Amino acid sequence: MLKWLYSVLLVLVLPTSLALTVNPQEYRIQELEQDRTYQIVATVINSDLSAQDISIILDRDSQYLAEFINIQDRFFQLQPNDKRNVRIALMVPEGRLSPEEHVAVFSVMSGTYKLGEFRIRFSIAGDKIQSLIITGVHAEDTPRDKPFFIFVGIKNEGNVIARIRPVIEIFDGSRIVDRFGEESRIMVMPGEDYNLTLMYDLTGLQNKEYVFSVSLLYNENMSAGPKSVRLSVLPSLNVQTENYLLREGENLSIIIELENTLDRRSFYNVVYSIEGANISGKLEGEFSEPYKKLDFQVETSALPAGEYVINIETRTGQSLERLESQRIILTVKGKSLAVYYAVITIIVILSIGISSAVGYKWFRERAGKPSLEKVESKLRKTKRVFSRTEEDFRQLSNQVVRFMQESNDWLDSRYGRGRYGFK
Amino acid sequence: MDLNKKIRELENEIDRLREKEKRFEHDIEIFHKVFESMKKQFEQMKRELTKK
Repeated sequence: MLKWLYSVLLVLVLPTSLALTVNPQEYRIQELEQDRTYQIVATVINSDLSAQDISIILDRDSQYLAEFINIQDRFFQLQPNDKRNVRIALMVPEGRLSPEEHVAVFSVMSGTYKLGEFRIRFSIAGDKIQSLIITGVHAEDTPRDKPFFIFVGIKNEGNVIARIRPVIEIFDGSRIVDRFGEESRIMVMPGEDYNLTLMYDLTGLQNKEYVFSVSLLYNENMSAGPKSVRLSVLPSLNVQTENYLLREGENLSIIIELENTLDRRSFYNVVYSIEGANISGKLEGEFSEPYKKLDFQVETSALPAGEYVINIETRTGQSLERLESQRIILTVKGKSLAVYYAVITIIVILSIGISSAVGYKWFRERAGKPSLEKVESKLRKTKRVFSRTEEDFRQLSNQVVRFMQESNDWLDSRYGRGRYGFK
Repeated sequence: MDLNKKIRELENEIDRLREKEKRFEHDIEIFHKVFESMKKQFEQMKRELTKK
């Protein structure tokens, strides 16, 4: 014998899609009786001009309710102006769900397109205990040009689900220089542990020590933490430092190439100094074109023979938030040696998102005799390196496709035929 | 002299491409790490759903 609904509030709302209507959009069960089966009917109406292949799937955040829900006929075809009643059975055994409000969200899909949605909202009676703790925070000293990860151990010691929004604040002394993590949303079931991994781009920070302070905001207005970790941002590994040769009496030419892959104006500020020689200078300005070349000379003609260290700090970005630092060893030789002159080219690349790289290109040029063979050989080497990178990317793409296929197969075996949002 | 200048320009272009390639490799490495993390989280979810 079928059990009928008790204390059901029908909420009639406007349809979310012109092509498809779901009626009603929400069922609410005030206080769910455990061990009792509820039968819910939602009507799907196809108001499109073409037939639709419909699949009803439970949303990702509602997956924990899947074992308590049975959907009859979750896959069907609907002709134009036709309708179909979707029957859903809900039964929650005693003690299986936490004492709080639960919402099962169903998406009505046609292929990979979501055409509509309906929800079943119900409450389980009982006393709520909200208790979330951070069991540990771990991060390591990382070079600025490498991916940086921070690992947070989380334990839900309460008896209700913790819906978490992490907040990580970066302190330089007592000053907050940045915060991140808030866009992440995590659900941790009562009694469960969770290992959260977050990534951050270090290129906006300097080569020094910072404190990363982790807090977890969860549910209505609860919070866990903060717990901190102290770490150092190390100099970029990509920096190449080579000896550069200059003849006594010559000036040093520096070329800085800025590449702007962002679609907006960027500022630059370059400060250079030669240690122990009282020589320094600054260049600043703005640019919005994809490439900008800064070509300038450093007055080194008065430097006697010897070894010098040049420090160059290049700041770029809309608020000069990115900093790249370089150290160069310059050797000034006596005038009796063969002619060499050094041109230092620094390429600073601004990019969207995670990475930015500073590369050095050093080259020495003997006056009047550049070589075609050298260029051809460079081109051949570059082609070989590109092929290796292409191959890496191909392998990674294959792994992603394989993972998507395997996860689809697993979802099929658990929830029936059809694809859930992947082609 | 023009030929020398052209050769220098080509060298510069090659080096610029090399830097782009290095950046691309770097991005692949990051994407790989994120993908591995995503796979681990999916496996964890599978284990929890299978347990219940």
